[in-house]
Amino acid sequence: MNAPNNSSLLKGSLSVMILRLLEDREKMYGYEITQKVKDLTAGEMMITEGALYPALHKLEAEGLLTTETQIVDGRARKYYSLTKTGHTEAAGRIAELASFLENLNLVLKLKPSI
Amino acid sequence: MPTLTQLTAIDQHLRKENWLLNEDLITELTDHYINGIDERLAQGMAFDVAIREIHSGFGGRKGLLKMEEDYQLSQTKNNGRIIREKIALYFRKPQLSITILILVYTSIRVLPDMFLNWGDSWIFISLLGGMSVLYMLALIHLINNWKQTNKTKAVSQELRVFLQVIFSAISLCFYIHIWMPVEQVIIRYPLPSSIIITLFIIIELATCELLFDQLQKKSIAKPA
Repeated sequence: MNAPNNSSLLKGSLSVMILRLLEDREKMYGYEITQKVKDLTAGEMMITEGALYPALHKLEAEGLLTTETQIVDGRARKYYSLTKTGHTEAAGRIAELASFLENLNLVLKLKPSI
Repeated sequence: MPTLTQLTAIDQHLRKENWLLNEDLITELTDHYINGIDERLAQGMAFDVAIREIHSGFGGRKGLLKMEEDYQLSQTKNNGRIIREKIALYFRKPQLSITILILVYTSIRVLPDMFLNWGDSWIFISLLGGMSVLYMLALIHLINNWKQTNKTKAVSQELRVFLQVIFSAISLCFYIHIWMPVEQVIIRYPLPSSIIITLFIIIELATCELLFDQLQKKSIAKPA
């Protein structure tokens, strides 16, 4: 992830973002994911290829994603989709990250003690 | 849509300039490069600048090579997981019946005063036939993939699994005969021996299934 200064902040949440996007769409390919994130955040958040593909391959190895190759414009395109385990795991991980963000927000909004 | 010269340049960029070898990864990255370059060309960017920009997004050659290494590892892990899942299926209905059949057969084979022998045993012939059919189908799929002229031909991943199946079967037979007094062990411990043989057969079957699935998945890639 590359955008201004958020690379380290996004590092731990990339896999959850992928799972969430795939929960929403039946199947997506790598480039489509980068563009979707860019569109959703109006270009504020950019996922670099160097971070995206290792994350996708890792999720596939964990059995959370499955792949399917289709021929598009005469070339092979690899689509990723959630497995049954992936659907279950996605819900858990999303809830976990949301709860973490809520707590983080509480700490960040802490008013200075008098 | 990039021209044929540009497509060749992308292919050379990945294979020659960045030393990538894994066909599956190259196929995936080629599609990514084409999409990225398409978008940049539409914005008026030059082809060379576009390819460099995408390349830097991957972390340059170092990043690509690291990705390939990690990809191989994750694929090995993935294959291991699938084989374990397939083996587990042989202990649940309906595949449990195959396990029982193999176990019964191996027990009959190793028990003293056995009444069946390799030559006239229908169970042995069925097993051998089944395994041979699987091997042959996998080999036919592999050859068909090799014959493809486009860049999506399956080499590394399927070939590795295929060699794994053949090599494990050959080495298993070889080492058992070289290092173990097989007949003595079988005569002394017939039941454990038949269980071990059954397990090895199931592992081979599960690996064959994985190979077959992967090749079939590749051969059924159809237009979206």
